Amino acid sequence: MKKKSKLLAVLRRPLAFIGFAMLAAVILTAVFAPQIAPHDYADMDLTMKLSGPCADYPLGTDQYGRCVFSRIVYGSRIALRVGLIAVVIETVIGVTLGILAGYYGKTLDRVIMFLTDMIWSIPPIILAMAIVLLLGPSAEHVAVAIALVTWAQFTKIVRAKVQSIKTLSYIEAARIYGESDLQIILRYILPNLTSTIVILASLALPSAILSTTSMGFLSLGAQEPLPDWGMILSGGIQFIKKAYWISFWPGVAIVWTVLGFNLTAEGVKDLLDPRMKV
Amino acid sequence: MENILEVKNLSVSFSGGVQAVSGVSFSLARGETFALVGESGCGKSTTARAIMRLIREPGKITGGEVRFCGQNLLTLSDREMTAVRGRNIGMIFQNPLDSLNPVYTAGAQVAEGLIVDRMEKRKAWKLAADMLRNVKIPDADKRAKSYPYEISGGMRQRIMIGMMLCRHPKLLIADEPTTALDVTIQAGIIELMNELRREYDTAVLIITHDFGIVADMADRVGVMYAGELVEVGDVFTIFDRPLHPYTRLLMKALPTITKREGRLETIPGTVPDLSEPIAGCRFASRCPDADERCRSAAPVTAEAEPGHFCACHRVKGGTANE
Repeated sequence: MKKKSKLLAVLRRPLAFIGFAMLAAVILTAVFAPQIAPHDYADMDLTMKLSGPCADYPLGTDQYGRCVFSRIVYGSRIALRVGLIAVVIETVIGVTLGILAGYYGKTLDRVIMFLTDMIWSIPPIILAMAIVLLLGPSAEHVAVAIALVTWAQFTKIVRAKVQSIKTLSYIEAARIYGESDLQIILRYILPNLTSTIVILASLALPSAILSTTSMGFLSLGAQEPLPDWGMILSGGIQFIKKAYWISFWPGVAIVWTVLGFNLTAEGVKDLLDPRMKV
Repeated sequence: MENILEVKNLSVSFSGGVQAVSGVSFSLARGETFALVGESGCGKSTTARAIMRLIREPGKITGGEVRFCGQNLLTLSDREMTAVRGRNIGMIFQNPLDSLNPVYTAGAQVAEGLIVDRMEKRKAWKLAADMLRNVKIPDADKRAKSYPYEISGGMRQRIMIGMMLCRHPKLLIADEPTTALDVTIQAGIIELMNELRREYDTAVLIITHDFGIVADMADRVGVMYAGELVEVGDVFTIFDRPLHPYTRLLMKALPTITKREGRLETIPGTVPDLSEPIAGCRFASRCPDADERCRSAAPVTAEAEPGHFCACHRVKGGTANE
């Protein structure tokens, strides 16, 4: 009953509510894309190329006569999927290494921290580009590349958190109880990291989506005819004077999604903060 | 009486050469309560943790023996030590507020130890609820389903005691179990511990700086100063006839209600820096009776009267070749 009332209190805040509503719209769009989109994302109608918004094509068409609205609607699936995969991978890598470094310390800690600092010292987007070029451009590879360049922030924060949890007496009590290291990590440390991990992941998701679209912009993500938002946007640039809508609307979609996630993440942070007064 | 715990010449040092515990020896018989007293930083807690082998880096046990039921704990493998902890030796801590895992209910934590011992889950839960009743948690069945943040500090300490006692350890180490609690709760916890140790015949090693608790609980007392055990004796003997000057000053420093005027007595000076080797008696710099001999040679521990040991030059046997 406490949790519920807190959820309501958070949702009653205008910003959190707006964020949540924006996010819900994106998710619903992705789920019901075939129902919402009037056309298939790959359907071309060359007779209608570069035409402005009309009843049949609500947001106009691109240079091949494809429906911009439908492409954006389907594109939400790519953005969410790639963002989600990236965040899951980076969470798993980052949290695992963070726990190992924080819990065991010593040499293992030094090795992991060295790796972390190394990753952090390279501009992420350049490293991600290098990884994608190595693996070949595709949406999945973008997800992997983003995960590989961003796990370090999880590691640093989780490590610090583990170091402080580790000294609390309930961990000592667990040891006195005869629990093994693995049990202590799984039953005592990990559950106490939940809120930290959820907050980190919910903040990492929008930035992963943003990186996904940047990679798409550079044509390193999903390939034509798949409707990657970043790619649609960059493809429309050469027609920006004649048909601004090709680039404009994907941009709006990106801003909408990232903003929705960020506002929601703020709300989640408050929700999980035990000190927040209801 | 059979000794269940024998600590011999235990030494612990921290990096930088700080000798936190040096050459501490004492023993505990079955069902007996032994109190280690001393001011902050004198090595009481370190001694307790060394017995459990829970000294954290950069600390290290540098010598001695800890015999538990005849077995030297310091030579056991980590796995064997894990089996001794909890099942045979329990420990409760100073700060009850973070002794319980915030993400599990009280009942689950008490049951956890029994489950580690491979008890069936439902039976463990039932025993856990019984244990909570035993440690006088009101409304135990409901409390078993509460999370630590919903439970007060005193009650958390009771749960901790229940957690440690439900596996019937032969020895319970209580490291300042009441320091973080207020006085009325303290009295309740002490009473509870006294009751339970009689009921379960558990030996208790209690670490405290509170002579009131010593008087309430202990059978025997060890007084520690700067990492050394300076006096050991029966609780009545220590209170009636303290021999070591440090113990005598400690007793004088106790506030009393009968003494109407004057300020609290204190012992002038501070504990010596333990990172430097000390030639003579460690208490010499603060001792009102110290002489040349005290500053140059360390006294040895000797039995001044039956069962009463003291390490002081001024006490019979304090200097080896006299």
